[in-house]
Amino acid sequence: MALPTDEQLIAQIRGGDLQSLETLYDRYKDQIYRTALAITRDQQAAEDILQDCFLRLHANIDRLDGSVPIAPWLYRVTVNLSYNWHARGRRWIHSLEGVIEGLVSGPQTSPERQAERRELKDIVQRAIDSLSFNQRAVVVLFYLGGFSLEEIAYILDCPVGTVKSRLHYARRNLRRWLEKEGYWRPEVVYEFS
Amino acid sequence: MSSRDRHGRPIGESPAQDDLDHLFRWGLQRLVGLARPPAHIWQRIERQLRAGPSPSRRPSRRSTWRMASLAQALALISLLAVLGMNLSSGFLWSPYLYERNERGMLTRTPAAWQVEGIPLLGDEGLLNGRQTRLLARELERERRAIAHDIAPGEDPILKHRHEWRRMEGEP
Repeated sequence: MALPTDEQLIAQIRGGDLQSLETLYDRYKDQIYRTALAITRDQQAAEDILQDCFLRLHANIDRLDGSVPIAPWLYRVTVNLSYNWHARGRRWIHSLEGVIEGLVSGPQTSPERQAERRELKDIVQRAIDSLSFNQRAVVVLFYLGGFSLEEIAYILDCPVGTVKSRLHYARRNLRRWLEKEGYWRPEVVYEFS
Repeated sequence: MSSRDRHGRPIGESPAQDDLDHLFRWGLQRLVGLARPPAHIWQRIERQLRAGPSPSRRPSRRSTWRMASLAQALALISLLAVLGMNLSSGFLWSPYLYERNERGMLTRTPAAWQVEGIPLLGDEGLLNGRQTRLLARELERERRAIAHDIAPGEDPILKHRHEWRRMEGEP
């Protein structure tokens, strides 16, 4: 039996079917949670944003166009809620260290390799920390979400040129930060696996 | 196709930039790529939806604050209106605030419409308690003087007619 489409689920949610909302939640919860976590770097905030995102979806279900993919709308709400959280001044108080410590590579890799990867991961984390909120949101949606520039423009509700510009400056800032800290040499071939 | 080089990279994109892209894609995947939300989040959502309106439908703190401000403004306007009405029309509550035996307090001047409606006693007006007592004594002394001056049964008007005529004749 084929899985119901988002459009079918939205129609059923409009009829008051919470089971359909749960199906939709299961379909998108990981992506939404990871995006919120990458932007806010706060586990509690990411949980609250995920919860609020689907409560808003339910509250606005009658206004949503079921024929249009729901994912960009969910991401837009996620970024906006992340921005609200950021604007309230509770930004990046907590480190992700505790959250991601258990996510680093498994025991099958050598301790040296694990240490190397952990160091590289920390470098990336600190480089992303150095970005502004707008640049960080674009970087997260582009690199983590895998969205196109046009999709990011829709999610952030801004022109494509603005997205290109933010991504360009984000890359430049990241490269400069890495070079300044001595972590990045263009002539070196890095291996990411 | 000539749009990519032999490493599969788009032509025009430098290897360094390509590596940078790979680094950040890899780094973000490492940071949060395996993170999963706790199971209780859906339970919280479901509980809220079954309990009633979602938070987005509840009045926000900002709207609550606006309503509180509006209520405060209305209360202030009402207070000023009542105060202004009383200042312009006299103190409505003066008979209730000032007991007759509290002579030390000022007796309020009644408004004209109050005078029309309520007969004003002679000792009310701008007198304070001490003056009212003095006036009462003066009135009593006058009454005694008249009683002493006029014999019982004698008409005071006829007795003092000459004085009144003299007063009327004066320029």
